[in-house]
Amino acid sequence: MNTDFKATVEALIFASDSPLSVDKIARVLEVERTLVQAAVEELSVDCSHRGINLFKLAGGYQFMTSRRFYPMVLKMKDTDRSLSLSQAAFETLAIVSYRQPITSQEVAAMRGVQSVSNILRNLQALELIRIAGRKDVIGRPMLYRTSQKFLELFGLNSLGDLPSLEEIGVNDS
Amino acid sequence: MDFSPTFDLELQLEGFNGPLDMLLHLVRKQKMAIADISIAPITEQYAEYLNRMEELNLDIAGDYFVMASTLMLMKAKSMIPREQEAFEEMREELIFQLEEYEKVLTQAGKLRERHKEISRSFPRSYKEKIEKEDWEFKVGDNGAFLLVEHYARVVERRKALRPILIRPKPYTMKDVLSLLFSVFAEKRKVRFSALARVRERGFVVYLFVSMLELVREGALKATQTDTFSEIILQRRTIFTEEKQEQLVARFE
Repeated sequence: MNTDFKATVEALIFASDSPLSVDKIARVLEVERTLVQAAVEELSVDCSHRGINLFKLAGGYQFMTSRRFYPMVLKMKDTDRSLSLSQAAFETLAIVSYRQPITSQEVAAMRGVQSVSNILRNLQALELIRIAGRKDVIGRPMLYRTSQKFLELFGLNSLGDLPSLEEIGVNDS
Repeated sequence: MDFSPTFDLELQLEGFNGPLDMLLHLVRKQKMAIADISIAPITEQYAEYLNRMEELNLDIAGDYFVMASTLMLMKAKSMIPREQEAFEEMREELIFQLEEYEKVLTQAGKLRERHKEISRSFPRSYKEKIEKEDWEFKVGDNGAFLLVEHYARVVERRKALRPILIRPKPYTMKDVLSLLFSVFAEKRKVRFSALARVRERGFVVYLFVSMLELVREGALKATQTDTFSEIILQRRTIFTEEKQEQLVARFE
């Protein structure tokens, strides 16, 4: 592989604010996406032992510090990246992520409460969920889905990467 | 029944995330499979937990009471032979709900773990968003003029925010009402327009309100033949001075 090409891809990924997709890189560089894919995979191997690793997130690639150096980086940054969500918020987010698209009423029913609209509003403010149309029933309630940012913040490449219940040892029939 | 409120319970009560959470806790405490849930004892325990929460002055969401009444309804149905079928249906529904909720808890836990794990890696801190924000204030060669412009804008804004002065009226509701009393002490019949003549709007409003007040109290009778036509005011009784003072006092 042309080292300059690989370095270009590296530069693009580094300069992007959010995970950069192979398609986008291919469009920018006006090359075949298979070429980009190959470069990305090499880059990933190249930096696997470095302080920054290449992460596959939300359908793209992003450089982030290696998990191994978390304590030191944290000490330098002084603030944790993690969201402080209540248990109720995590439950609500879990319901939306596993059963999307879903209405507010359906989420509330699953949690056995009358309303989750406040929690949904907060999750929306955090850009973890978004409104994705309306359900075609009486009242046309809004449907919620998880966002790109949700995938990023939960280390998922796509919704298909959500840990399945079988994987955790629960029978989901 | 092995139910005794303990210190442990007090800690636990605040931590429930809703009625299903509490119910699941009770089922687990009994070391029972969800599918084997027996309604009567669970209903009692649930009610006891609720009572305890009330004693502790915890802020209990209405959701908990909805569940309590559902449980009690089920318990009642379970004791009526011809309601057996309906009871079984409700029980199945509750079991389904609890099992689904248990899955949600597992999934929420899994999400929490994933989030914790990925949060141990940091992306670049640089945020394009901040850069892209509309920062109008760029100081160049004309910096000083820009500063004056901004200052002028601040001054303009302050002007816009200046409070509107409300000037006190030269008369009060009390005055207008007293005036009406003095007019009708002499005359029996007066046209509204005659009273309102040459006075400004505020006075007319006060006059109108006073008129309505006196009509209500039975001191005057108002007649109008058509919309927007002249209102004729007629005296019905003359109030004693004491009664007049009473009415006037309402508008202190």
